Amino acid sequence: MRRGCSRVRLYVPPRISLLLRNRRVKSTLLRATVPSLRSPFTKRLPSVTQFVSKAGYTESILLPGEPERVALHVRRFGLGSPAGPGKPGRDGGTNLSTDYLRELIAHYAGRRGVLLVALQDIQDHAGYIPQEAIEPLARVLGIPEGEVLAVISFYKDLRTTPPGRHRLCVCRGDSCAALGSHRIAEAVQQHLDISPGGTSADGQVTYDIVYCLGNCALSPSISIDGEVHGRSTPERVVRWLKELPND
Amino acid sequence: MTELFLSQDTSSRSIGSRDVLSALRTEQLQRGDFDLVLTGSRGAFFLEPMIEVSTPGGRVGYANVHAEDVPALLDGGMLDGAEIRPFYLGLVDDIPFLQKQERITFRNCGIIQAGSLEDYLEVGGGEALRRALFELTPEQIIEEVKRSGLLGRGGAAFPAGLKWQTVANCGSDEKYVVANGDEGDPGTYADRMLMEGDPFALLEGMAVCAVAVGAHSGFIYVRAEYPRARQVLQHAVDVARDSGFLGHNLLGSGFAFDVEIRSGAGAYVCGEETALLESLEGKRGMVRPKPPYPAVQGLFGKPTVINNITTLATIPPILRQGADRYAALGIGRSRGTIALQLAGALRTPGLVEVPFGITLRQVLDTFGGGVQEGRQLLAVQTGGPLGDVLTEQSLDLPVEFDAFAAAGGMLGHGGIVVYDDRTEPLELAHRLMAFCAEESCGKCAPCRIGTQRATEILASWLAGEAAADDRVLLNDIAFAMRGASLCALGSSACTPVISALNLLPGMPR
Repeated sequence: MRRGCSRVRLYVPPRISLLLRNRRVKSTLLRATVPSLRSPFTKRLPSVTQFVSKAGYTESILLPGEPERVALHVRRFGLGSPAGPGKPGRDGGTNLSTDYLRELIAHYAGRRGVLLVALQDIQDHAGYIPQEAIEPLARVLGIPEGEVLAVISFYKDLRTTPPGRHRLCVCRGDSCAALGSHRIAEAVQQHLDISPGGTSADGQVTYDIVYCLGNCALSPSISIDGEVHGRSTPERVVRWLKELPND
Repeated sequence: MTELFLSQDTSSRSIGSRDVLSALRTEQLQRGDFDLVLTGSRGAFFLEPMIEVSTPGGRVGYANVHAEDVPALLDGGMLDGAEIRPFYLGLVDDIPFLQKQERITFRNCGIIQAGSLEDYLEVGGGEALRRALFELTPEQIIEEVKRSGLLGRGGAAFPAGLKWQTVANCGSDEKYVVANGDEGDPGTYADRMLMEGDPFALLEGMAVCAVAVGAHSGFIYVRAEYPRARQVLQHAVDVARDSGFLGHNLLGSGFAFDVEIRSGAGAYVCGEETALLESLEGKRGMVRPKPPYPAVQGLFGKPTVINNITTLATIPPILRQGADRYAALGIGRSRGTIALQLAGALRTPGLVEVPFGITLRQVLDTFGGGVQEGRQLLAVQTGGPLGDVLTEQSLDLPVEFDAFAAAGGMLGHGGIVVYDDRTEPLELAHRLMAFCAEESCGKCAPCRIGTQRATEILASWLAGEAAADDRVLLNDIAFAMRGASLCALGSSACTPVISALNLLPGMPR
């Protein structure tokens, strides 16, 4: 925090810290002790917590999903288990521990229509959908591997290669295009030396074009790691790219 | 204690509201003399980040605040509503942009704490569900919705009551309520604002619908580009379940209804209702032929109500205040209010909820502030990337579904994007076509191939290589796609391109 926070007690619940590690948020967790601090998210601690991110923003983090889902995440990360989880995928190595796959299969086996959710779950966990996850998933859902691959190839957000450490999306929706988003795209492509869908050579940024981030009143928009920035300019976007933490 | 209100809507955050929050929290920890309430946005995005202070006379606003300004504002008496220039706005309700609107669906956005069920109940939330469970029969609920004249706000403008009726009449023991939050049309953001700003209204609308049609399971499909909406909704669902607002015993009535949130994965076509159902079933999001309509054979082949977020969130005020009051607004077949989303090269774009019947020109001038400084209007596109491109001459069209349809256009989900003279008309046409080519699901050959070919033609024009019969070919492609595609993506993909070619200057003739 930029302006001191001496009255705040720092508190890092272990399972939350694990979850945050999964989301690649390296941050100090902060649990505010001031009772008047009202946010939509503070009422149901500890499933909800606040933290100060590296950039100094106070953020609220909501743990994903219902209690069972949270429990699944926690188990998956091997809390208290000597096996331990695989690291989120960036070095290109195997990311899915057998423990994780077993959990996944137990969770989704025999359930109807969960292929897309299961794939999203794997991608949330590993950053992408590794080849070795496809066969067991197909087996447990009782569908051909080809169907799994067909679904992966249909959805733009699902990927089978490791992404960069950060994800940049430049919006090319109608409103952003009307206000010059192509100049931002050009500047980004020049700066990173990649085309849309690519990852920079240093593995730092994966860059995509998207159609609409829903921020049309403040065009042109981009998003970095899911956080939208409005009224962007090529210069500012390139500066943000340079300032991205290299973790 | 004085309450400060700050929007944490995605848009507000994108323009600095998250930094302002950080600064306010820091000050709060040191001073401790105010409460902070985090809301969705009121939709006046040109004023964001905006801090509102509750004073005896009403809420006073401070616009375009930067994080660095926060200590000075607090020291300068912001908590007492002091007139601090240049931020001071006076009473927020008196700001012309907001004062001239008629807010029904968006009545709570920017007003109440987004994730708090207590706050929602305090402003009359829950009343509609209580009536639905304890006062009305399912037939009466559907009758009310029919009487309100509510048309689906997703774009197709199908009467919501009729859809519910169809599902209610189906004798299946397994039915679903699906909320379509795959707001993919570029230039629209009403659903996102509702999901982030008033999630309980959506849940209540879904629950009322479930009671009316006899469904016990619901899904909200949120597009992947809206992570924050998903986060807020998930929180709301958890809270609602804990409080008996959802779950196996709604408000103690014994009626069971639960909601699951599902995320999209970056496919525009999944906003189409049958493609969305396919996606919910975990498959490729490819459209299904209709009939059978989803109301008869929807999710997993069972009767399904699939409504847009805005439609469902409008149900609670209709049931609470009576259908007649809602139906009193609007013109023709379009009853009530419409949430217009202004975007593009306007001075003051934002979300505007007004009764149907206002003209497009009035919307752009009164609320949008006209075209940006020193620029000329080139075109206005309504109804998303599949809607017509309109020019200056068409601006006196009343905002109403049938009037737009009669003029060959489309009101759609209410997105209005304004292009000025910085936009190259041919590039606009090419980009619209390329978008459809990229997003076509590939089920219908005319759309799968036609969008590709049309994009190639427009690309060759951009490269200055127009052939003599290109226009004929383009018209043929448009004709084939219009008649032989299952969904609106295929049948309307060429509409804006053809209208742009006909109306805009500098196009090959």
